[in-house]
Amino acid sequence: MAEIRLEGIQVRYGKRVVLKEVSFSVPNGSLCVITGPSGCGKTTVLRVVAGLTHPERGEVYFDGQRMIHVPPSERDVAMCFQSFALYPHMTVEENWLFPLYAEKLSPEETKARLTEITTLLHMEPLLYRYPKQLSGGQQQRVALGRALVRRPQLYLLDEPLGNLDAKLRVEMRAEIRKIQETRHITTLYVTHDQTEAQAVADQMVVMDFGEVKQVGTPEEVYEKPRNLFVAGFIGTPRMNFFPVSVEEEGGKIFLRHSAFTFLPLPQEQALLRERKRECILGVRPENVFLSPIPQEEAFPANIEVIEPQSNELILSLRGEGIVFKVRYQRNELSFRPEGGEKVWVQFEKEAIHLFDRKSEERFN
Amino acid sequence: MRELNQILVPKRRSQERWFRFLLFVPTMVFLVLMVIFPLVYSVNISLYDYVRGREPRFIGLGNYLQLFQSEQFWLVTWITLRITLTCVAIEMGLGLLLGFALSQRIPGMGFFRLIIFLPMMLAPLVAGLFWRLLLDQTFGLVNFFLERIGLQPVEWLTNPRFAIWGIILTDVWQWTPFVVLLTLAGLGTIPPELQEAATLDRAHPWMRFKHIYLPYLRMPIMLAVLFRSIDTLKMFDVPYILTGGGPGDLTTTLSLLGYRNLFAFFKVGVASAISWFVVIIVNVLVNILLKILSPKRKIPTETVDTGL
Ligand SMILES: Nc1ncnc2c1ncn2[C@@H]1O[C@H](COP(=O)(O)OP(=O)(O)OP(=O)(O)O)[C@@H](O)[C@H]1O
Ligand SMILES: [Mg+2]
Repeated sequence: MAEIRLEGIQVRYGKRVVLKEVSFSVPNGSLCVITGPSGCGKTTVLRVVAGLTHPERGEVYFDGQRMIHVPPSERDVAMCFQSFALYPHMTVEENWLFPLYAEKLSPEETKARLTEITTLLHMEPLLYRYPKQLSGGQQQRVALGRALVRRPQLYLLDEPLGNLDAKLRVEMRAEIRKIQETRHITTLYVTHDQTEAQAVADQMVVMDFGEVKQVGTPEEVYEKPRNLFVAGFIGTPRMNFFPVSVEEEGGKIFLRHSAFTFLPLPQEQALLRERKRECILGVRPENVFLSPIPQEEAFPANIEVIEPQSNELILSLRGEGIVFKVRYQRNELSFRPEGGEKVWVQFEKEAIHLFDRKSEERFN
Repeated sequence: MRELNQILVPKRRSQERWFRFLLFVPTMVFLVLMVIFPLVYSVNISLYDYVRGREPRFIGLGNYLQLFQSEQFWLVTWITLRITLTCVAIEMGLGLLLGFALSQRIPGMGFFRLIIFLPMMLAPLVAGLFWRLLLDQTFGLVNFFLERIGLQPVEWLTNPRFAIWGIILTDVWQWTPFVVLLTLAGLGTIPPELQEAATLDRAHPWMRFKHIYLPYLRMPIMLAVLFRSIDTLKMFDVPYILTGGGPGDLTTTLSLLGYRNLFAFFKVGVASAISWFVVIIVNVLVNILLKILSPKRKIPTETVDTGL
């Protein structure tokens, strides 16, 4: 129920800068997923928003109001801690009732909230247990429940589903999304799971080493990664990168690599002509075509490893001086690939990513 | 192979058992010599009419009967209990408060944390002497300040009403830091993220104290109460140096009474009986306190197992 804005947040622990100039905003009522490698500062961002960590510099705004000097207890945020932080001397039920005291609800309302959360998280048989008597996944659900019983301005969920099994995870993420949407509560959601991020996010923030690398919708981040880091971090298996040289021949620009020569589309021709430098070509594994017989503009490569994954195949190929991966729907493939087989490879021209080699920024 | 095992394993087992027993022997010998023998011996003595220089005579529970009929004995028991209860109550209250105050992360707290433990490091005799000088009627510092702010000087150590407070003051001064120490240790075991969670859950101070601090302080509080009760019930040195038990017997503790019986009147039997009475009182009181202080509901896998 609030629009969140971070401006130039800088956090330091001792000498180490943990957040550098972090700025982004989350529109009112939307869900923002924060993702990035371990130790990049995701938890720290949540702590700054909650007011538990004081940034050295920068401002946090809720609905345009400066919050830096507002104590955490008055910010009206509910947080699900990565380490759970359950009250060990209280049962599951008491853990959930604890944040409700401050809301001064009627007994009926309290009961209704409790029942709702219990059924939502499938905790009926465990209500009177102590945290120490629960498994990791059950503890995590208690931690999540302690945030979700409240109706705050803001939910801060730090990897709320990390310890759950796959089935429960899919179910819970839908429930969190539903609750968040119906109550219209702005949410910051940390996760490493990319399908989870795609499924719930209105907006994604990708971080690395304390810096925001890209802010955008899940589609934008996937289809137009702004730099080499985001391109490599989002998507599994990761994007194939080929360092290529830009060469002009007969009025056309070619990208040349020891294994192949690639002719880009006209709109990229213009861009490349301006730069005419070495660059990095990125191609996602699903944007590669394979054929058992020679094709125009195709280059040969050998299949090295075949990994079947549900209805997909992940193939590792080796060409001259390159190794790369290809992802295929099983039923889309016109032939049966065999290890060691020679195939002809083409890249999907509409779906290539071009990055500057120095700045690592995208330019197409 | 199997037969061999059947022979070898029991053999090894019995060897192991012997070895374990062997390791146990020094402890046993030490315990018998240093603890059990003196205890049994003093029980034995307490059953004799034994005045030094005379032949001991067995009188059964005579010493105890004599004690229980003596008015002085009951007065001294009452005074000991009064000192104990007052001291423990004040020390616990003050210690907890100071502990909370000193646990705040305020610059300069480290210094206070350091100096507050100084009294505890003094020998009780020295502390007693120290307060005797401070509380002295004519040239003590306390009365000097009382007079300065326009109050009547108080006969701290000789007035029947105030003498006991002199004793209490000294004990409180010396041993409140002990409670502070245990409180600080207890507060230090609270995971910081619990406090953060409670902050975000907007718990008010009383809920915070009851549900977060208290569970972690229960064990330190219990230990502090036990140690302080046992110690004050046996108190000897402070009244010995401060008031000598007077005026009259108004600041005489059980230990002081026992001491006087032994070294002034040479009544070895009576002195032993008194010290056994102290042991019994300590045991009864400690058990009552444990009952009161143990948590009402057991939280299953308690991490702290003190073996109490
Ligand atoms: N209290 C602290 N003192 C010193 N360094 C810290 C402290 N807390 C975090 N850090 C450091 O700050 C960096 C960011 O930590 P943070 O917990 O925000 O990472 P994260 O992105 O949440 O990682 P993860 O995905 O593993 O949870 C890490 O390098 C960590 O080592
Ligand atoms: Mg984290």
